[in-house]
Amino acid sequence: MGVRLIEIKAGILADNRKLAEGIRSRLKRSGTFLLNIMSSPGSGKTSLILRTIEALGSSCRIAVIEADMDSTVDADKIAAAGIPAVQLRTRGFCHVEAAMVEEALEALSPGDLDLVIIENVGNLVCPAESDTGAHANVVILSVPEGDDKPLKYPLIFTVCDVVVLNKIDYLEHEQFDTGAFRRRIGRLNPRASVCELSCRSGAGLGGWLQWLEARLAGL
Amino acid sequence: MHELQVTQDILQTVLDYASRNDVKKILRIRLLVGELNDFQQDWVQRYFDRVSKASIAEGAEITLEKVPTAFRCRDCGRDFEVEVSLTDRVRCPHCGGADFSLLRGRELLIRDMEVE
Ligand SMILES: Nc1nc2c(ncn2[C@@H]2O[C@H](COP(=O)(O)OP(=O)(O)OP(=O)(O)O)[C@@H](O)[C@H]2O)c(=O)[nH]1
Ligand SMILES: [Mg+2]
Ligand SMILES: [Zn+2]
Repeated sequence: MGVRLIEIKAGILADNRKLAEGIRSRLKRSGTFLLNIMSSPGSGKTSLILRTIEALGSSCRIAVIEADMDSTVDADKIAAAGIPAVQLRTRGFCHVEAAMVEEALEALSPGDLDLVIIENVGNLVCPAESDTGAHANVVILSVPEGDDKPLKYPLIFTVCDVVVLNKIDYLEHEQFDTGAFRRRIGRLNPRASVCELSCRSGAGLGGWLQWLEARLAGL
Repeated sequence: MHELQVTQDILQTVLDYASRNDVKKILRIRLLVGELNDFQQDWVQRYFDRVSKASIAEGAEITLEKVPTAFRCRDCGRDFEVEVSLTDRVRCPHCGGADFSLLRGRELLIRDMEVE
């Protein structure tokens, strides 16, 4: 037999997508909103989660899935805020996948929760490629990282529903063109919202909370 | 790009198709990769050479076909391609609209393979 061509047309990592769809519809039925937060290391994922707990924690039952690679530092901070936190064993993975979320949800009893937040691994590349099963995806970029990131990491800006520009208290010291930044997001993903805020000073948090509450109400 | 995981997934899929199609050797695997993916072909090939050792896929060459980024205009419904890394502002070339959805550019697929 000579050389033959076999058509495959199969998605790579398709199992993950299937699992993610399952999580999404299951949680929707139980009225639990799953929010996935992605950013580079240190952009402010944990800070934004803590600010969100502070504002919504009394009206909304929240839990957090933490994906730190090697430590429980962030999970400890969340637990100190009185919120259930599950530490994922990402086993050196560069991103969170649906199977890990499923495992974490088993430890949480999602039926009694309104909002589960995933703090993804700090990285702008790999998390963009793996569907976690979330109902909405957040990308945080902090001012010191520069306004050119949507040019360098386009994929992550196409899979998100909202972009949070954090650390705007640095705007006066940095050459950051927020107009150019918004245009660069807009050309990849014109429906993404952009919230400019500072987790440090609290400025702009109202816009973020408004976005989140609207999405929670729309589940 | 989580290259190792992608590589293992490719190997599993091609071996699965091979066993159902009476294949003796896999020579070449063709992937379809959206331009927005930061796909490192040399690493995938390197990992593949390693994980496919002693299987019928050992020595197979992995080639890529890039899928350009394309949008569909929500105003006029027409499609257009864009070189994303070169443009700062995207407008529909047909009607000038600025509301569109991503049509292509994120795919990651095994298209086919050459076997004997
Ligand atoms: N100046 C300033 N600093 C901030 C702001 N938000 C967060 N930080 C600081 O930035 C550092 C990193 O914040 P984290 O919330 O830990 O960031 P992270 O994304 O969770 O980091 P990793 O989990 O390590 O990836 C901390 O020292 C925060 O205090 C802000 O709005 N302004
Ligand atoms: Mg953190
Ligand atoms: Zn148009």
